[in-house]
Amino acid sequence: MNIRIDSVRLFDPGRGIDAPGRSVLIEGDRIRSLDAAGQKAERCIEGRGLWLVPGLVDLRAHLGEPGFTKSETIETAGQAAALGGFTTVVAMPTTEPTIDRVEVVELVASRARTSQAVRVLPAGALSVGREGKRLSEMSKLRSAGCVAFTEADRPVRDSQLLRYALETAGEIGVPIISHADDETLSLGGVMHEGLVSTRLALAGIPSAAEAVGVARDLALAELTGARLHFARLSSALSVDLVRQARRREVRVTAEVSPLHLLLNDTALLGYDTRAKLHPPLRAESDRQALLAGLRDGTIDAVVSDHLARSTLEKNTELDRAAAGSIGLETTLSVVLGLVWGGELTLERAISVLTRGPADVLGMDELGRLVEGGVADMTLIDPELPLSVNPAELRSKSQNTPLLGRAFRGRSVLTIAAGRTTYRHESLA
Amino acid sequence: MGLSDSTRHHLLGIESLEASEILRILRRAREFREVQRGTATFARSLEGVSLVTMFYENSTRTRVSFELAAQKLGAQVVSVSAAGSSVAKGESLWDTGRTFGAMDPGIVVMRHPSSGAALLLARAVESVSVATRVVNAGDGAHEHPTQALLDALTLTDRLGLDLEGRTIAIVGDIAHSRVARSNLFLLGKLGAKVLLSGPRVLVPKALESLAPNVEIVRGIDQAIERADALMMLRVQFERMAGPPPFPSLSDYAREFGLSVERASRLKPDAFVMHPGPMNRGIEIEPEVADGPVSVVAHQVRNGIAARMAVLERAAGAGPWAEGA
Repeated sequence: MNIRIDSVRLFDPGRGIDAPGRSVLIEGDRIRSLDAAGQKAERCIEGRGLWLVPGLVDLRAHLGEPGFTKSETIETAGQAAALGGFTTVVAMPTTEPTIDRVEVVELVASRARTSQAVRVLPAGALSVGREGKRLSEMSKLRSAGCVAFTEADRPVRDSQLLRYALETAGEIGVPIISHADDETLSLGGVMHEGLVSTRLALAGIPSAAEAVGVARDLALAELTGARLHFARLSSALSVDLVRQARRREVRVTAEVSPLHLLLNDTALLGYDTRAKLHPPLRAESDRQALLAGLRDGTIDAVVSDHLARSTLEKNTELDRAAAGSIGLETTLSVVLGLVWGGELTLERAISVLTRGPADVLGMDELGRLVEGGVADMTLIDPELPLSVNPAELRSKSQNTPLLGRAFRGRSVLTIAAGRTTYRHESLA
Repeated sequence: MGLSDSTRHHLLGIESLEASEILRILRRAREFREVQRGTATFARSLEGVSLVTMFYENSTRTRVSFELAAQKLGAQVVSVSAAGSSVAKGESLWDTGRTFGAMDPGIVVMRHPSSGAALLLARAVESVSVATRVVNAGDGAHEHPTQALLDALTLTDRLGLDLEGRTIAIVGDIAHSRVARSNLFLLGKLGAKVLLSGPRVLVPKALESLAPNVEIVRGIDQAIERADALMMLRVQFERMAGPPPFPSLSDYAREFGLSVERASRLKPDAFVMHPGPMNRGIEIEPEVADGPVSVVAHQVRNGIAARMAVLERAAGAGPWAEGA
């Protein structure tokens, strides 16, 4: 079956393409032509006024399966991803059991095949059981399909183990994804340490807790020469450390979550548990520094950090509430909002959702529109609003501080490997 | 919050109270004190109201004070403790609030270890009840409004009704103190200056952003020399994770304890307060705590009168009754 999408603005920062009035032809799971005016197709989609960009790539989502299917499943998260314009999602090993054995990789892969909503690339656990004691069998896991290794939502406490992990991952050509945190500094903390935590009388997590972790990890990346990627940075100091390291040509990349780009710690006023994140929302000056880092290329990718939580985990005292927010449905729209607000260029906004994350994985077949390449693409209506409400959300849980808000600009058609995974009713 | 009965009021904290409302509560508390001294009589204004006290943290004085206040006004008192209740079986605060709200007792008084718990309880109660109100008897390190009200009563007894321009020093573990927070909000609304003093980690700079009247002074001596009243607080190790924030208690006492010698340098009419429980020999020497400069017993007496006023306000009784 082939599909032609007509009259779109073709926009691919990864290949430097920005062309109006193009027709794109998809044949099977491949892109046949990026300039297909007049060529025959079985199905045609009118795309006037819409932007066609490479399928979005998410470096960080928690899919809940196996282990937490009461809050989320690969099926529901996949639907959320498709609605949000994502064609590829890296699944964190925050599962039970964790992704430290080939059987678990295969289980995730088989669920993803059944769902077919999004390409799921599992990130393996860096250590067995994510216990930080000994390395998981990275080579086997790599062959089974793991694209990176990480302890996901905890730091590697043992510096020697992290060194070994970096060396091993370097040999098999995948990055280590680090959650940077000095847990002796963040111990007991509920939110960013600052004016708001003082007002709410909640135990604070100083920015230094993350920065101390970043500094150590950078030293080890420099020592080993291996590729290190920082999971959702939150503080100005961390961005500075990464920027300096890149000047020394340390092989380091970094990501940020859309909520850290949009909100600051004042979102927790009124003890709003939906805004409790890990790492926490920080001060406005941190938010500005994250945006600056995203603009100047210190930060390579924006990630959903999608994490479903049940009402039971969220409708409780703030210090007892679980951290995290869903994000697959809203990430693109939040990033577009930064463009409308003049905080990010459109070129950069699309880049950090496509080529940026693909390059972090070293997978240059993703995040780009190439004739003959895999047909992953997202059609954006820059005017159509996304209303963040239960009727729109596809996740099994609705824990997001954005509930009730609306954002201009959203995906109206998502195609993963030639398959339509999401189609908005507005599309002709 | 969507309250349908505007004569009844939660008391979740001092931060959201108007100065005029604070003065109204204090005025009513003074009237109750007259009654206690036998120079006047008053109606049992809370007849027919039930008071549920839920204490998720241990407290003797605050609970007894609330219960005595309620009994004096004719309310029925039901006590719930976390141990032995459905809380021990893992019921969430939200569900507990909805359960008690549905029973509609009139007033729920809660102490809880989490900051913000009183607000959560109020939301839960409101989701099922239009009449029942929540009184915060201390939520984590956040607020302890009735303590600040009884402290204000004590301060005005000694310093006169107008606290404008007066200087109150609070010394000790400010970061973890709900008493300090409620007091600095209240004193700011009444125009008093607040000096904060204690070890740096327990007196973060950010506290100065809470109210315009707050100034941090390093070292206890400046606080002693400038204060019209001195509030001593204990160090709340139970709210800290990780290693102790200073070398030793005796080291702390040396730097921040109120010794007889230090107390002798207070201004002539200045006096010393303590919300309790007191760690004698650490933040305050026994001779000072029991000496003429201490008003601790007076504070405790004022607690009942202040809480009687707060309970009337919660039930929409007394001066808060419709048409009153």
